[in-house]
Amino acid sequence: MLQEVESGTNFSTSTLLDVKAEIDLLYPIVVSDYVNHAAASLFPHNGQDGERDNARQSNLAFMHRYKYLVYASAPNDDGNPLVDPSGLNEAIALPVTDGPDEVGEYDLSSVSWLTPGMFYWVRNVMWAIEIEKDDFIYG
Amino acid sequence: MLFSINIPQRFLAPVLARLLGFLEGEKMNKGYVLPPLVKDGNPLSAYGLNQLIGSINEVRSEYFDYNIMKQRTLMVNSFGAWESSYILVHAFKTLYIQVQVEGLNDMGDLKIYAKKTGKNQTSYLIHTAPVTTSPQVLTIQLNMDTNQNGFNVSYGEIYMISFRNTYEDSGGVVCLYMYEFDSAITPVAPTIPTITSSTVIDENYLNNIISSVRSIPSRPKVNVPFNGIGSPGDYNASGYMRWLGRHRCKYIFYGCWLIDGEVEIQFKVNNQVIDTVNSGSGSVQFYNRSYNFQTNPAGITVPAIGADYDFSAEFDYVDEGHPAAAAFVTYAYESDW
Repeated sequence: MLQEVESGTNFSTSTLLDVKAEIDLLYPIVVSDYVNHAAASLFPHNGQDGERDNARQSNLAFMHRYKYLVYASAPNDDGNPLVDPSGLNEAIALPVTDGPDEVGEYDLSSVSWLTPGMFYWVRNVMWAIEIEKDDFIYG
Repeated sequence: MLFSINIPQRFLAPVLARLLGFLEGEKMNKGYVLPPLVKDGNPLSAYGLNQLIGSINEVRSEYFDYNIMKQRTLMVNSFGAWESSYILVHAFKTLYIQVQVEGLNDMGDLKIYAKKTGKNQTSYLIHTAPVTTSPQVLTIQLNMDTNQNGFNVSYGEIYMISFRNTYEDSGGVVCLYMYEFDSAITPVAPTIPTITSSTVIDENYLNNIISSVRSIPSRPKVNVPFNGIGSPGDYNASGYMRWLGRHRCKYIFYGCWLIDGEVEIQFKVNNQVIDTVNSGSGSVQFYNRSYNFQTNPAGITVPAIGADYDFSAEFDYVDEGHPAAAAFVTYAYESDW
């Protein structure tokens, strides 16, 4: 990470060389990864009572970034806990959708212990993604 | 009477930068202030330079700090849509799918379906790929801005892609890649000369750097999770625990739990063992592990920075006296610290 410069200090070419080096490092990554990744839904181990068993064991690990969690519950009655893996905070019970076809949405800014970059788990869902709704002005 | 309002540039600059970004056709909110361009004869302020540095750090964070492994779904035998779905928020024109076909003879057609998420949505067959030989890698690109056999999706809508096949023999298909892209807006890397004793650091030099940062387009604001995958204690199931890694950082961090008796699994990068975890005898054991690509204690061939790789977990040993033995990989991501 580049260090900011302070007003009143001498400006040297080394700062610009650091900037150049960072851009040269970033661009190949930016070019190759300028894509919109899909989120895989969950699947059974061996096709044996798959949807139910696998979803019950499901564990989606998020590194928190955006405001809204969009998800679909697994077809079981185990609830959809949002879990702090450290165990320091109480799990949040996400509303259960009416089967995997209904889409749920949860405002993550309402979770007091959840901060950007923090890991958390979502269980018993078929799929889930984080989005920033206001951003969808593409096209 | 005319009034003159003196607004410091540090307040105006972010506003102007956003306005300029909008006028330049910026499609998505970048979440940071674009660095201002400079002009010969004007002072290069610490504030302006720090906007450039701040923008670069934001881009770095966007691409390096959220580097979670993505599931590579294995589908075996006769598979249905419910076991092979991918979720996308439509953001770019082209849907890119790559699958690896393994161990199938005359598999027949691999069918790809699309439907919007939500209740009472119709599933459309949008592509049929004949599979006659194996192993092979199939690459499929579909223009999602056009009608795909009856399926239409608007930008910002969430939709689901699934695979189906009815062949009953053993074998499998692994989805290696599933993403959207748009070649028309793919960034182009700049050429920034190295500073030498004869380099004049003028408006042209600085604006070349600044413009290269300003022109990095924003990514879709979609955050995809790590799919924790469990597997029962039989060797055939190991192939399910497979993810796509994109090498950026110094470390891989990963975790797992092992249950019921002696279970040993190996973690691999491009099929090279980096770590072996054995539960010993006992009940559930939790593990948090890491691997340092730079010191590379296992002596593997480390992927190049920017390269994709396969991250997998496979059973190496299961005590058959404990048929309930199982493993579960709880997280895996790359990070620099």
